[in-house]
Amino acid sequence: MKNTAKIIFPLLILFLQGCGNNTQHNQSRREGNTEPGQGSDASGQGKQLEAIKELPQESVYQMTEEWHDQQGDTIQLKNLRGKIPVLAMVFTHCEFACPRTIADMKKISSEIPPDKASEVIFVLVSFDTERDQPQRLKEFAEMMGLKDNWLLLHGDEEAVRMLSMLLDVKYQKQAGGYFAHSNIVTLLNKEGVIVRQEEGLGLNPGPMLSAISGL
Amino acid sequence: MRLQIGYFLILFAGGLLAFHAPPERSPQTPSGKAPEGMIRIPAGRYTPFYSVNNDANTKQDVAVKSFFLDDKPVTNAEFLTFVKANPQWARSRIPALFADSGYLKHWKGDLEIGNIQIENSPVSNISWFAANAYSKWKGLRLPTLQEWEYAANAAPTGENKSVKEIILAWYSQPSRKTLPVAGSVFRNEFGLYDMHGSVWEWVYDFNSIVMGGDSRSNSAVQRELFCASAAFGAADREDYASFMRFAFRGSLKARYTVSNLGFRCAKDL
Amino acid sequence: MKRSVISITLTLAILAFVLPGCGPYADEGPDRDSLGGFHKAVLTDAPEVPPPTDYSTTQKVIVRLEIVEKIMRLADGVEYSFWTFGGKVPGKFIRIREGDYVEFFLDNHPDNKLPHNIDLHAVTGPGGGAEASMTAPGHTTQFTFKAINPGLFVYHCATAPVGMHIANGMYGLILVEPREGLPPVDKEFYIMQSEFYTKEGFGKPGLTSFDMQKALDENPDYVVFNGSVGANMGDKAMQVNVGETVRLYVGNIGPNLVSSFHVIGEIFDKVYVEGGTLINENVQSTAIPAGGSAIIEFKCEVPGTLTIVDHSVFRAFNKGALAQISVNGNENPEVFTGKQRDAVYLPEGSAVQSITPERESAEIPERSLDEHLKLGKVLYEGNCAACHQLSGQGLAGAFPPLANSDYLMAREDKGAGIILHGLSGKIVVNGVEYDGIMPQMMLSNDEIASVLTYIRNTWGNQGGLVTAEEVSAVRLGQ
Repeated sequence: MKNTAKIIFPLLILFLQGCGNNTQHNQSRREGNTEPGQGSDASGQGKQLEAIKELPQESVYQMTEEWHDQQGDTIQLKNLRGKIPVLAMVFTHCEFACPRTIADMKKISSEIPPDKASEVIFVLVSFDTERDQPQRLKEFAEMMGLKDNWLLLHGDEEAVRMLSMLLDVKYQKQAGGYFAHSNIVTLLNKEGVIVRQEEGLGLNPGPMLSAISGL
Repeated sequence: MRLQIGYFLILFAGGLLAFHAPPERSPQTPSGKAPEGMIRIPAGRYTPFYSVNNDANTKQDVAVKSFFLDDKPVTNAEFLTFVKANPQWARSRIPALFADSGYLKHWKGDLEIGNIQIENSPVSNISWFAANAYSKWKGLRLPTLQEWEYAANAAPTGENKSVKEIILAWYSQPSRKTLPVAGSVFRNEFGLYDMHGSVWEWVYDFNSIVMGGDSRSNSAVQRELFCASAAFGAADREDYASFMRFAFRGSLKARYTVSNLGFRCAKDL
Repeated sequence: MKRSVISITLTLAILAFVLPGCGPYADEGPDRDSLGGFHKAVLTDAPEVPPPTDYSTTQKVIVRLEIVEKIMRLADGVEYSFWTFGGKVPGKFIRIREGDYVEFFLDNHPDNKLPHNIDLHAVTGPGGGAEASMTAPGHTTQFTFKAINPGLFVYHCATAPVGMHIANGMYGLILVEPREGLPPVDKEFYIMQSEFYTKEGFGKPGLTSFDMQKALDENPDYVVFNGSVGANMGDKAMQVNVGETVRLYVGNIGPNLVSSFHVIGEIFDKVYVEGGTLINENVQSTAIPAGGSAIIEFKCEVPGTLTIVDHSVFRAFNKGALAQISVNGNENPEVFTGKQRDAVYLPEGSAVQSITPERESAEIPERSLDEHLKLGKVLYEGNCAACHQLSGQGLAGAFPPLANSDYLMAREDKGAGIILHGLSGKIVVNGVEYDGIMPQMMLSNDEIASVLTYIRNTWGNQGGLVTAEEVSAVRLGQ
């Protein structure tokens, strides 16, 4: 049995690495400047030390705009520092794409390895600055069965536009309260640097999951 | 959902860059009178080149409210004033998130243009974030895509050429070594200088055109990639000048800098 | 023993679990060959072609193209604002092998005004790479593709407005050699046909630029090979030696017109139809669609200049669709003799007139019977056989026989006078009356001697050698 373990573990590592390398090749939407964020220490002391450290140059947490979550609390994106956010921009009145994007994220959520489950947070940022107020977001979260590890954000038009710029999401307000928008799910590391982006609907959760395992 | 509470303290720890420039004294003007260097653009309607239509073949007019717009693009000298007042926007200090490595590369140093010839030429090699920050510092904002297109559609004054001809003539010439002095190319009927023929200009919502890099598939939006309740269409498929402008915007990301891409500011009435 | 069996089983079970797990995680392309190495692609400007691939394993090939917007010559005295892949029109020729992975970098020069991208028809994937390679001025993009299908493919820019990016010069060819390679040839050339739509019209001197209306009307001012009028004419003609085999990689990008590709004075031994795998043989002209290609092979048997045209022929002579291959070496009269006569053709009447002065050979070479027979056969077949037939039997009621001809063999001049001066009116040959016209032939004394020697010693005739001196004497009326 000991012998078997000796054989299996190197093999396992080999295969997992093989997968990891391939996924790197497939980060189609990134430009290859991803820098792995500094590994974070779980202890409180560690967090304080980390806070003093400057954010990486590519961190979207340098954005200082304020948001309101579905509980009505005010936050900035850098409050997410230390978490692993899986993020998408949507609007709750969307009839076609957004529910499917949320379903894709739920699928990722259901397959996250247990050791990462407490670190990953799912974030939905609304395009709809008028209608998607915190109260509406709360109702929407309940309606969609989104649990505590989901964060729904409302921001003003400036904040939403700024975030769309940072995530390379295109969107335009249309007549009738609809939004035309790109369907992109983004994975940030613990320092807020974009690690992976997936464009489209009905995503295969595999690449995201393996990227999450690597964080 | 309680995670942020633990992190709130972090916010106030030192070391984080504050990337909002404090606003300069905002130009106070009696309502309706344009601030110096700005033009009051009257309200009106125009046909956007790219729009979301229920029927891609019908042209749809859009109403644009009256607003103020800089009569010229922002110059290198003007932008230098901004960088001096907000050194976090200097070339050596701007984080990669907000500008690529070409940021202000034509300047000699962080706070030095180093070429007297281009001081009054439009500033270029600046990212959308930098243009946006400059505008806010001035108490202004970037014009929206609709505002810019509407203003740029006005006919040139004192020339027999149409807007399209000026644009196509510009496209057909390789870039000049140095950009012409702001205000030296042509003036349009609104009184705006050089809306074409000198530099491309950032607009606030340049990423609002939902089109991909492959122009041939843009007439039918890919539902998998973009959510849209209606089809996108070009108002005039023969308007090559506009196609190129929209293709240019489509190739940009907000952190990109380009040697012939500048900006001008707008303001609500 | 038992334990090790369990161990192996367990190992396999875990591997079986891990391996399929790897698939969706890795989302890799089909049929991933093991890489035999990597190299930077050799890129060439037209009409040059990179050397054949000299490797037999799958390679990662790095291709880097720089986009430059610049003014260059379109015709003598005419300049145009081109947009280019690599600084020339057409763009660089790329040569890879089936199965290769191509790591493609597209650099958009910072001085450029416009975003550009590339659609390679050799790519299996969205937009042929157009979406993945959309590049703002001053930026670089990169994507990788696997060359699944062999063939000769066009590439071009696909940024809006696509037609204008193509019309301004953004195109080239990429050759994906089949795994086994292409048969070796002596010379290879790269030829790209394209159109230009200008404000000023054909040949108007000065700087000109794209005219949208003419492009919409599909009415180009220029149709050219390799980016400008006369790019490969005269001193810049492609050079070949007699006896060499030639392969042309021909692309047509349009943007509008389909090419009727033809090489004046050659028959294509082989055409890889539309640049694919199907081979057609013995072709005179091949159609190349806009956005398509053809691979053409032929052997250059005789010296001279081969003129390449779009045989939609007003394009060739009025819009510039001409190029040349100069074939150097010795004459080969077996295949081609050069001009042998030029006479006024009179369908009726009795006079046969020459319109060029008679050729007087200053020096008369002495030839053996064998030499005269060999040369005479070629001359006979080229000049006489159409009427008198290859067998010398003539055609009953129209052209008298030469074989066993009592009339011919009885003539004192051995027939030289007939060839020199022509013949009309009634004659009787072997008891049959003929009443026709034979025109005077524009042949030298030496050539007449050869053809007469051939006639008088073939098909059972036994007339011996005819010398050029004898012919000369007849010509001079002696």
